Amino acid sequence: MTKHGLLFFGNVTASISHELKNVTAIINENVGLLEDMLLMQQKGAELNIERLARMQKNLAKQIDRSDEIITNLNIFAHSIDEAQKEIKTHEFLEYIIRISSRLTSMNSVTSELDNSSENITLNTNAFYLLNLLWMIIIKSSKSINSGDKIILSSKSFNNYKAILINLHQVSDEFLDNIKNDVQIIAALDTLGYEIEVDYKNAEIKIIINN
Amino acid sequence: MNEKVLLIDDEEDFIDILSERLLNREMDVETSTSAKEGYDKALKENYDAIVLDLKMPEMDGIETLKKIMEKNPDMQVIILTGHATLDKGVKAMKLGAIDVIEKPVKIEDLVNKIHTAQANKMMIVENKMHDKMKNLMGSKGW
Repeated sequence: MTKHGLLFFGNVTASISHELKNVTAIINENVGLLEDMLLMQQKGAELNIERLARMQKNLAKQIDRSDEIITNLNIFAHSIDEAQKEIKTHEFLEYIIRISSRLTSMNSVTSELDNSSENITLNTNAFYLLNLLWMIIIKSSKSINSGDKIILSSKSFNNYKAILINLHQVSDEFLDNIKNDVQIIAALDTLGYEIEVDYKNAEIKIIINN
Repeated sequence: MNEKVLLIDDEEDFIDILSERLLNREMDVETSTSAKEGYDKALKENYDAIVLDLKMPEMDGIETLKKIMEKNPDMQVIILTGHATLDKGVKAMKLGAIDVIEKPVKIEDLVNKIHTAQANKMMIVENKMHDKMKNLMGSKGW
């Protein structure tokens, strides 16, 4: 794994562990509140059944949330298993949206899959493609306006396939920076892909020649 | 005297229950799930302690802390975060936070830190009052 790959691995696991910490903190407070209620009941107060029911719902919600986080972590850990793997772009793009959402939300930005996207099949190195998309998404979230969206899609052209990242509105300078970013270029080289930017439509195109 | 506390954290489920537990301990608690709103509240109200998360959308905890301390250097801010890296902790303390604690936290630990914050604040107020009196008496030649 390259230095950039390791850095990416660290970034994603740090973000996921932070999410898990938040879930643990909520469960901890629920358990603590339950303890408070039991103590109050021992002192003669009546148990608030409605409150207990809300706590049960909240705990179930946190269990679902932690299960989703751990599933995401497991998919990420296995992304490095094979040098080449067949992927369906929609499932893949939805996954990168999920794992990057905590960090993009820090900049009040959301990512979503375009409705008109074409679900295509790629033979790729899943880990490095995730790394490439992660870098573009996180950098974009810091550069576009707060409240804006990053729209991801995939498409087949005559001679190639592409993943498109539309930013709606962004400076030409930012698009140039993306095109010339050393880490992005390293990931593109590892994958054997190319990059193009469309200044007019604020769009980044990853060109996949296979 | 009831401690007046402001909790700032974007995790609504967390802040709801923590505030309920502090209310059960007879504290006067207000909450904010946005750093910007929390900052506005911190300037308008007189809190004994502010419990602040580090990672939040729009404005992160370090930036919020910096802005609060610029406007009110006596404010007692406790950082409560799931992401307490050493450098962030040091940065927060340098900016004036009185403590940095990691989630999940034992309620007794947090309550003790809030008590300490209130005691610090009372001491600051008393010292200021004392200095004011001293200056006043000096200027009047009593």
